[in-house]
Amino acid sequence: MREDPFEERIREAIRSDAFSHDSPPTAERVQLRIQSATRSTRRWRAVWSLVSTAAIVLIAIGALAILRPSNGAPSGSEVAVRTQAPFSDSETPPPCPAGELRGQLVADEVEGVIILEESGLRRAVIWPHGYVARLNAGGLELLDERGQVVAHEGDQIVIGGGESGEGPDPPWLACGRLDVVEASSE
Amino acid sequence: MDRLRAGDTTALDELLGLFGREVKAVAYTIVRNEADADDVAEDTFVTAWLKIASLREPYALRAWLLKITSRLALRRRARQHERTLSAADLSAPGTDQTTAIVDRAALDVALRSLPAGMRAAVALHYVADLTVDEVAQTLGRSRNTVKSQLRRALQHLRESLAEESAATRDAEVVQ
Repeated sequence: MREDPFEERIREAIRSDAFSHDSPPTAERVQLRIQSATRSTRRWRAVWSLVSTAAIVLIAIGALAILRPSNGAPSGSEVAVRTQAPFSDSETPPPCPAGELRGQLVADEVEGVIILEESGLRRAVIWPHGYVARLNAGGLELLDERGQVVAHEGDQIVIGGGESGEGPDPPWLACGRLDVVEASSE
Repeated sequence: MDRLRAGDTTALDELLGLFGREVKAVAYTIVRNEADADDVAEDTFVTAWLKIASLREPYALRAWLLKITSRLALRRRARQHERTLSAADLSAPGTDQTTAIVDRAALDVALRSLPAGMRAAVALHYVADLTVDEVAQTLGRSRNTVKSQLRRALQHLRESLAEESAATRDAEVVQ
């Protein structure tokens, strides 16, 4: 379709205006910019390569830390349990009471793990220093200070030690023996 | 094209010779100042040089260059502040300065008042002589959108220039 006269005049005016600035880019200036852009790209590629490598290494370290806890104990999320304070080298730990607590190791929302006694009493335990509980796909596990699994959720166990204080149902201060007398069937 | 891909700088010289003026003219129409138009034009050829491998169809070289120009100019336009007109922006060698300044000043004001996207369509259609379909493809818009933009741009220019012309006549009568 033919343009109307006004459109033709506008086209001429716009073109005249646009092409009147007759200083097109020179090869020299464009080549200078290309060199600068290439140097900048190389620098950014080197930085990016370094950053991405560092990120991959950090992610790998983090993944290993999560998946492989100390001493090769099974992976899982840690469950907070009460433990005794450590003794310094100069301190002599008190003798372990001769008491025994028997019951089933079960998970507890507040204490992490407790002992369910035959009477039905849920006894909180203050575990030896370094003990942790971990929750895996297979359930709760109790690990000693060396990271060894010493009992599983549902196991019938015997713990040495004694009650930690006065009053009804004081927590059990665990020390000495910890034996699984009947493993959980699950 | 093969020489460009091979990094032959004489091919770059030829490219500048073929398309340099047109790229600069389109850039200027969009950004409306000399310095930014120079930057956009140079950046267009730098981008083309660095990314020539991505151009699959050699016959689309001109359209590709204009696409780069429009994109860079619109980006620059989005960042720039409007500058006041300078004599250098207005002077047109070989023409009557007084008449040229009045007409060109009015045209400049009218073009500056267009939204950036509309200005890009005007630049590609009237400066680079692209068809409506080619403009649509270059800017990544539909044919109908481009037609509408050009129609509205033309209407706006008509009204702006008519107003400016009336104002000039009134000023002359007063004098």
